Amino acid sequence: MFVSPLREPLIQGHKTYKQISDDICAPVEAAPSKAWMIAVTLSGLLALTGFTMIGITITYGIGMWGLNKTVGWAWDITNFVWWIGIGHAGTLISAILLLFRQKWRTGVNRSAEAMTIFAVICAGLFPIIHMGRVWLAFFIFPYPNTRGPVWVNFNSPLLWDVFAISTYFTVSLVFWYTGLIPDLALVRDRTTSAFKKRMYNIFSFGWKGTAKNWQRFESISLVLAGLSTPLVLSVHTIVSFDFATSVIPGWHTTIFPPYFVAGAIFSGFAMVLTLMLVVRKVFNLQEYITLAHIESMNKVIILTGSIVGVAYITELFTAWYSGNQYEQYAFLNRSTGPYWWSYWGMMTCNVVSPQLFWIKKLRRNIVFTFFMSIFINVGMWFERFVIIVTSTHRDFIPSSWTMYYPTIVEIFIYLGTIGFFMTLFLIFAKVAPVIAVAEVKSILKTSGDQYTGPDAIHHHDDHHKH
Amino acid sequence: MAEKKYWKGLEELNQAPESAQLIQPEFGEEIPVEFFDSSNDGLHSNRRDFLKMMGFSLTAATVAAGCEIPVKKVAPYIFKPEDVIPGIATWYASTFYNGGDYCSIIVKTREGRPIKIEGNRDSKVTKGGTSARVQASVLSLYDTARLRNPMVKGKRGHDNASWADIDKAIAGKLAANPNANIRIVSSTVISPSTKKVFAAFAEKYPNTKVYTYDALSYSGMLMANMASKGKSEIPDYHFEKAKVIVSIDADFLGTWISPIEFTKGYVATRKVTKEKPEMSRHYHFESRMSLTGSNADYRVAVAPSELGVVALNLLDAITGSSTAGGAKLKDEAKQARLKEAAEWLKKHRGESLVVSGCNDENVQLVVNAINDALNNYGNTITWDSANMLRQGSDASIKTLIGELKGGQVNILMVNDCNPVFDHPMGDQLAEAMTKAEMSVSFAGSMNETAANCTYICPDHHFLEAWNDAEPKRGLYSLSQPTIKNLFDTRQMQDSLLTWSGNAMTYHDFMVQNWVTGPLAGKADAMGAFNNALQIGLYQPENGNVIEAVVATLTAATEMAPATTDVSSAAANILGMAKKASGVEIQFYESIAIGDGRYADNPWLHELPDPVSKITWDNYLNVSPAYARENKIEHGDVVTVSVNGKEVKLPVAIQPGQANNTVSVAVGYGRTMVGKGGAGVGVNVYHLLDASGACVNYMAANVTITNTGENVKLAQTQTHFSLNDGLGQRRIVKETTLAEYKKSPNAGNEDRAEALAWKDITFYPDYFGKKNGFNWSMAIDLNSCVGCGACVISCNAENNIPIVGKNEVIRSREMHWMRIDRYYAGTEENPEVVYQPMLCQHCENAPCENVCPVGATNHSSEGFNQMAYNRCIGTRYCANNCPYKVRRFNWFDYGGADTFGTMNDAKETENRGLLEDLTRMVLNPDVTVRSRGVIEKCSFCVQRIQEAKLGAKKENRELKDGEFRVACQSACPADAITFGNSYDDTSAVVSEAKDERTFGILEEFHWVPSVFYKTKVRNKDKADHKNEEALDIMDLYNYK
Repeated sequence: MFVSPLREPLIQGHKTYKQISDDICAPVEAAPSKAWMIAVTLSGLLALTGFTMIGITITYGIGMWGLNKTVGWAWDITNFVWWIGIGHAGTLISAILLLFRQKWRTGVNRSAEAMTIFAVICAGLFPIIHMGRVWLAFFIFPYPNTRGPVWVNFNSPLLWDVFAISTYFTVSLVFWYTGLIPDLALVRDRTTSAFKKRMYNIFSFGWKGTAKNWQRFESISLVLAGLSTPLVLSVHTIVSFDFATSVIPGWHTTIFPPYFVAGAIFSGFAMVLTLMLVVRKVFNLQEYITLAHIESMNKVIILTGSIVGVAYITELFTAWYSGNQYEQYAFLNRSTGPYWWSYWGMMTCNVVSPQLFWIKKLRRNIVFTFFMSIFINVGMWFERFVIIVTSTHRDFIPSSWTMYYPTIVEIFIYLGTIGFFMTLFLIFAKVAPVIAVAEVKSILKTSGDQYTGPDAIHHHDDHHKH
Repeated sequence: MAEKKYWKGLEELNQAPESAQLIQPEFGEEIPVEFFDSSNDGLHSNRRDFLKMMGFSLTAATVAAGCEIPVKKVAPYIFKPEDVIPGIATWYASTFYNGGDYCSIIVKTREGRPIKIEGNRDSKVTKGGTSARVQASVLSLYDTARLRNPMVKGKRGHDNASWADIDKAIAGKLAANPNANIRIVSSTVISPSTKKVFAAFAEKYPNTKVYTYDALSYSGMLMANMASKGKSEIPDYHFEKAKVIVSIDADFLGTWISPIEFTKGYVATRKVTKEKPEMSRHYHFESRMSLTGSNADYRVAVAPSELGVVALNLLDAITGSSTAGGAKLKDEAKQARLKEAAEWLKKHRGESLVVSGCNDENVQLVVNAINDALNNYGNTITWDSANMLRQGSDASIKTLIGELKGGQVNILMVNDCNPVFDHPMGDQLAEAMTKAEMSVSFAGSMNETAANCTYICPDHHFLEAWNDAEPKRGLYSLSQPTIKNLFDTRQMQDSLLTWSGNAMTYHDFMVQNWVTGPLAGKADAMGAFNNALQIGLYQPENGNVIEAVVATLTAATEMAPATTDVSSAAANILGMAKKASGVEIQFYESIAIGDGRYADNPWLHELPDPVSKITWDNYLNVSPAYARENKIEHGDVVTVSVNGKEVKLPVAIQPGQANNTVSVAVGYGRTMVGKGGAGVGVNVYHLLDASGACVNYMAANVTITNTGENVKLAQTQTHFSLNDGLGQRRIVKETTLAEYKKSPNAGNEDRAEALAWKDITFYPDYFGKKNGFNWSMAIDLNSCVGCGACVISCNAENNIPIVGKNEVIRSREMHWMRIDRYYAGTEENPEVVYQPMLCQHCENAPCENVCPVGATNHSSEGFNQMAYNRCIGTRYCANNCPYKVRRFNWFDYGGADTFGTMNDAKETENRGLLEDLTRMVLNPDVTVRSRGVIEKCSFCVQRIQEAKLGAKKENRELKDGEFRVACQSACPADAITFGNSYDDTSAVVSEAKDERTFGILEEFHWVPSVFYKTKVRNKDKADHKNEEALDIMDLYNYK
């Protein structure tokens, strides 16, 4: 296959297939390091604290949070949207980039998809625990019942959320797991432990690596990619409907669907970067997750960050142009009201800072990229907080304007989900290859540095061209 | 193959008869379960199936039992009481009277429990109006702090006693010395029969004297009326006849004498219509922002010491005299306004009214002179039905303390008052009380005075008692028990009758008093009495007809008027004004807590003050300018030093408070009080100066020092301007009377645009069908005075939980009906507008479409209704409600759940609201909401349903006005109209058609079912500030 000479090699170090297997499987096969043990303990404890706080919330009531008569949602739904958004990068990488034949996706897709699954789990927690009567959560499912039957309200965006997120989670999980099968088989074939062999054999569904296996694998991957592609757009569109279909100034905004999708991809890529920059260092995978990968992702960040920036400014313009005083005040209040810091934090992190990636040096700077990825995730959290809290805390009737402050319970539920996410990711990194071995191998011949780029070994056919 | 036989012993093998018996089924009979019998129905169930099913049932039962389903006992009637039909309310006419607050009421009882109070519309005094205090009084019946039996003072506190022992001790003491000096100290008694009981007691024990005092005194007024009119009485004020009203610090809509009656009268002059575009003009001079001041057309903020100067200047301007001697208000604009008020008064001689709330004989004398000069006596002020609600004299407690100290009192009896707490010299009284040989309190629950008494003989709650009342001379009303006394209490009158050796019960005494007195001439006196009892009223045309029934113990109430000369009064006023310097303070009565007697009522504590919107506290009101100058912030705790005494109080920055003046409510800081009021506020009574003839509710030379501490005030509304910086939000609409005369839709011109879009919809016939009912409400902003009666009425009707101070601080109050208060204009003297806010029952309700489970939906009658059982508590509806009327049960405030110790509604619990006794007040027709569900105004659907069923039973159509929703019926201003908007003849439809009518945020097309009518102010357009921003958005810091 032709590869433009301008394309950087995506696998460095003149790797052979064997080396690729060795390198990527090494962390799975080695005994858990001390660092891993410490990390998993700390994040596990954080997760446990979070679950304790959830327990307290369910035991005593939502009153344990800082919500009030005017602000009915705050950190709960902020966290929900934030986590859902983070998940989006995984799906984008695995589905849309696959369809677009972007080879650099192979270095990061596995981790990104895992991130998606874990982020959606964390996200899904919030709509459930934010219910006042969580024990009746099953009411949101449209099932035949003896109460009439009473059906759910199909007009409610919250119900659409239920469908959107459960579909999204299911498809993502299947897609991720399908991709894992050849690699799990690889680990099975390499391991010397009988127990591991047995376990990996079960989880790899007896993969044999036959041509028929591969042919089916490729087909299902494409089918799932096709299924996932609309989900990338639909899930966050539907999440944005929670706000867009409402009447509250600052929520009732028709540009929310594209704006939310862009924001989701934006934050998702930032999270992928945060994770991968650590993973490549810790697992010594710099030759598979190269600067080329990082730069590609940073480019996506510039694009989506700019879309988000335009959306923010469009909102301001719309508010002004609408002539609607309530809409105008909502945005005036966002930028100059008591929560000004969250608005300007959002603007700085999401609009201003990604523009620095126009400078090539910076987008290829690992330390800078790492901090930027954290920045963007902070900014995107602020964005959801700004939308949810600053819109509701001062809406139509000034008599009801209030302030919202989080409680320790809410803060630790949020931190707890981060701990939970990290725990899941650490366990994942220990039991499965964090890079899709089979997929990386598939691009070796076109994107390995021994074949392309400045370090390429000149081959026979090159001589012919002289 | 033959069946193999196993045997356990030889006996069995050999089939000995004994063992054959043994192996017979242990239970001789077959288990009569046909279901398990395989032989006859082919189900082929057998013992194993039975065991399986039993095992399953057992497991299921175990699992289910693990959920701890609570055991709630329902006890059926064994003998059905004659007049109790379960599910059907029984109503009794009665009378509310509590320390000067009077209201003629009807009481709703369900299954024998009084649960709701409504105004009695037949009363000529209160005309069906109620107040927040009246509405809340039903809760005090179930107050856990009520004494359950008589008590006698022991070594440590009071010990329980029996009535027999108490009677023996007290009657014995009395018998031993019939000439003992007995003093009965009481708040104003308006019951003729009670006065007669006092008289009978005094007859038996001749050295008995009754000392009447009012904690919040009107002594100055009584003295002035004695001096200038020869009557130690309060006259009958006819606000309804007044075209110009000037109030000099008289909060007649909130607390002054008879606010329900005065609100009725006042609002009658404020209801403008196209046909009659006339309304009274109301000038108000005061230092603090009172409820009445906030409703005035022109309010002038003056220092307390200047109030007398205002009165003198008015007098001078009207009569041309020069009593003020050149004294003026410092501010020229204010002086000009004063002149303007005088001009208006002069133009309306005989149809104006000047009232003053100063407890100062001098000021009241001047006010009397003004009303004299304006020829108001005989027109807007009459004496025929003189007001009986305040009869106390400030001299009485001082005399009592002197007598006690001198050992001249043998027996002290305390009735319906708490002078140790609420008198400035309470400390001295408490000490002096020990000198009496015996002291008896009739307090229904422990209070500061009762704690110092030898015996406590708890009186019934008024809902358990027989009584009569004469709130205005010649207008009587009656009380009857609506429930048998819950505890071992006895009516005060019964105690006195017993001790005076009268074998009659008070009921018999009272009936005899009526049938031999006023009703004696009637053919069927007893029948006439029963008729009066049934309607709760006796209001003969000729008011004085039953004068004979009154046996007054007070000294002569009438004498020849001494003088109408006000020169010495003027000199005193000017002297006082000159002396006053520095910061001045005023002590006032709060709308909810009164003199402190309502301090155990959590409903009232959680009622936001109409003006400040602060709950659960008293606080020092300071002006914004004063706060800025002295670097005091909202919530800062300051030390206030008045008359040489100090208290620490939190500061509330109050727009409209006259600069360099402060004010604080009395009645808070009760120490001997039940759970409902424990630890609420600070007592400031001891700061008052009682050294003069009258208790002085004002003082000068106050020093205020910031302690550096800051507390949070539980305020339900922190933002108060409708101007958000981008212009006025069109949520409240206002106009001036002159504009209204020009065009009836003045101030409401923009409605046409909103309405142009009203009927546009995707759905065919959405607005076209007009079958059946579509409920709608209209609220006249010009009538609403913001008193809060509706809020408490809604509390009582709809089982609305109380959340406590900390939850209010967290903005979690549960009121379905709230009164929004907005300011416009300047912070020194803002215009105020009140807007009752409740669920608007939108036809296109934003809350309905967002609920994922359809728990809130639209009824065929136009309700936006809540199915609590279906609600899972996503709060999406609350977020999406533009009016923010939806309330979420953050904790188990209502006590509906089975969480028990897993409930964190600690404050609700600590205030005693989850106890069985308190919960007897719950309305059985309204679900008590559980934790985690949303609730909101239901338009009192239970009342509508009841009325509809009533009409259906009689096979007729429901008539307009046949029932009233809770807020509507409580309103003393008749500001609320409710009815069927599909009925073109209904009152609500005619209201809706009025040019003043608008819906809030109508332009968004949510089609609210609640309409408001433009507020009309009787002021010049140039003075109308409603479009101006009150630039104090950040007055209350976000802390």
